[in-house]
Amino acid sequence: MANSAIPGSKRVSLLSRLSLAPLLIWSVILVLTPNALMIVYSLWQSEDGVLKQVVSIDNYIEALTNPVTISVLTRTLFVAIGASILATLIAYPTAWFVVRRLSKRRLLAVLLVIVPLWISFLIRVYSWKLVLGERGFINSTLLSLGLIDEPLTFMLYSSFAVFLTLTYVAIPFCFVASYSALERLPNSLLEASADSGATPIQTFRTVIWPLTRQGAAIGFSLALLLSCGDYLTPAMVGGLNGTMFGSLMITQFGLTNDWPLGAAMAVILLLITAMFLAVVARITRTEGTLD
Amino acid sequence: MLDGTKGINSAVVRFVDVSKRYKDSSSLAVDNVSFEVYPGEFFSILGPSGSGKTSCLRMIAGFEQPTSGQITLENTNLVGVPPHMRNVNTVFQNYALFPHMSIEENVSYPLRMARLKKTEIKQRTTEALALVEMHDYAKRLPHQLSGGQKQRVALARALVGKPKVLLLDEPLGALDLQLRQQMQTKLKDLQREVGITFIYVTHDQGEALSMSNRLAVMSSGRIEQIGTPKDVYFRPKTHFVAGFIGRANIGPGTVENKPGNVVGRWGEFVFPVAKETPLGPCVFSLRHESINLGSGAEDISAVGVIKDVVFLGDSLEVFVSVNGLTLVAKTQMQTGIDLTIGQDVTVSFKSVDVVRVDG
Repeated sequence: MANSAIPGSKRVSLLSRLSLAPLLIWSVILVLTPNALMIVYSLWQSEDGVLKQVVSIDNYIEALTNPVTISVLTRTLFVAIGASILATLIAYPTAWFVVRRLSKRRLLAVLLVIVPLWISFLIRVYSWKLVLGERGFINSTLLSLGLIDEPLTFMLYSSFAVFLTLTYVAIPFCFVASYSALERLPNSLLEASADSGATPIQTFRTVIWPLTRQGAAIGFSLALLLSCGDYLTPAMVGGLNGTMFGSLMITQFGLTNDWPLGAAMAVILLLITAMFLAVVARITRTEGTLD
Repeated sequence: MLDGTKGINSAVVRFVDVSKRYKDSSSLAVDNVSFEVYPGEFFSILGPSGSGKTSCLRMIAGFEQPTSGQITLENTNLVGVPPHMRNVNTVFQNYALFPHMSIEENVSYPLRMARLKKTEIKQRTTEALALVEMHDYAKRLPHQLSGGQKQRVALARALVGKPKVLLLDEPLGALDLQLRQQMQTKLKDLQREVGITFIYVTHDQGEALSMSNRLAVMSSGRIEQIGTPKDVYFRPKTHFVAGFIGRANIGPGTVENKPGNVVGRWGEFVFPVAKETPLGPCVFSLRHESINLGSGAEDISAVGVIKDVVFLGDSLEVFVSVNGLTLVAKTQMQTGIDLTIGQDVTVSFKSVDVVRVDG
């Protein structure tokens, strides 16, 4: 395990350093630089769409004092966190079922869950329009069954529609993360727990969850990152009531042409989610490693 | 004390006509097996891999259910009882320690699951750790321990709940030879100390012979023989047992009725056998070490030619051909006799050491 740093072996350490180079280059080009640029932009100003390279924190003050921004940000966090939690709550037990109950058809089940990822994101979101819309699947079914006289209109173009769609989009990610954690859990540990007199519920609480919650947390984090900055989903199924923070940001980079304000909003969202994810990572941390 | 003559109700674990067929398998993993284990006994199930020995153990633990038959623990039915409701504990082959719990938490786990009082948990955990001499490691995590140490923690965890029966599934399999031998002694001592019935599954005949009060030899899902280590070693009942345990000369012969007595004929050897021995063709077994070389000291003897000599370190294996029948004799290094290949040598053995085994 700990063979990466053998003392007195210069070649190995040079090689291992070299092998880290692609990772380093990748992070600098694709992660550090864009984020640094974003932070720099957020400190500059825009006057009538013209960029002024004057450093101040006015954009932050503007973003954080504007009641619209604050209410949209709050709603975005609620919807995104809610969707991520629901997606995890659906995906984790599903992954458990696939790992524990299916043997031969396991691969098929995994494939079925992640197959939607092969389809364009846009189409996956659009499909919910077809489900929730006025002449969508739900309404036409209810109408033909005679359960309602007029199509229900509250479903599409609302925060609820955004919530539902984001949940749906996030499920495969949560599933894959939970699945890989659950699959690594050796059966003998579950047997040892039952053997020690633990009921199935006790086994879940004391063995299964502590050893797999990091996987669930990774899935949750992916879901949260995907959903809290998303602007396509609210644009397609959210309507005016379903406006999300991502929609506000994209407006700054487009319609309003206020890049510095948009950048400041992006930094704010980044900091909030980073803090939230740090807390999630902290509380789901488990000591010890599986062999 | 463990003479097998105890009353039928005194068995701790009893198998009655137990069979097990796994899903998608055409053959029986356990084929109509019956045996009893008595209180305080060190009972081993010995067999090659795939013989059904682990399946038997897993049925006692409750991880598998028998396809047919009955298993009882102290005369209460075990079939259908989930593992966590059984008063037996298992030491797993790969230890199965919980990686996220300290050694102390691992050992106290069964007590915590039973929701005992904090003070009692603390006290019994300390005792169990002391029993296996692991009290200095209480705060460590499993991955910081060596294999032998993990093994001892697994033992402590299995013993802390004071089970009726301790099940051990090849617990020494992953340890190196020296540690394995140390642990054998340790296990045997521990079993005497705690007085709990041990059921020990292994493919290692050395372990089974040295530790057990009694052992069952299994092959292809069936029990070939149950008996004390001496019984099984010196009086094998079947061809399989004779071949699997120790080293033996095994070959076809016949049992014939001679005027006055019943004799066995094996190659050119003719020797008396018990009167009730069934007549006709049969298989004889004779331990390598039961053959004497160089003198006609025993009641049956003949002269043969040395074909080969194999050096084993502490002893020699001498292949002797007696009129076309090759016998292997195990002998000490210094015998004072000429063991040159091609040399004539006298072989002799006691007729009582020849065992007639079932095909």
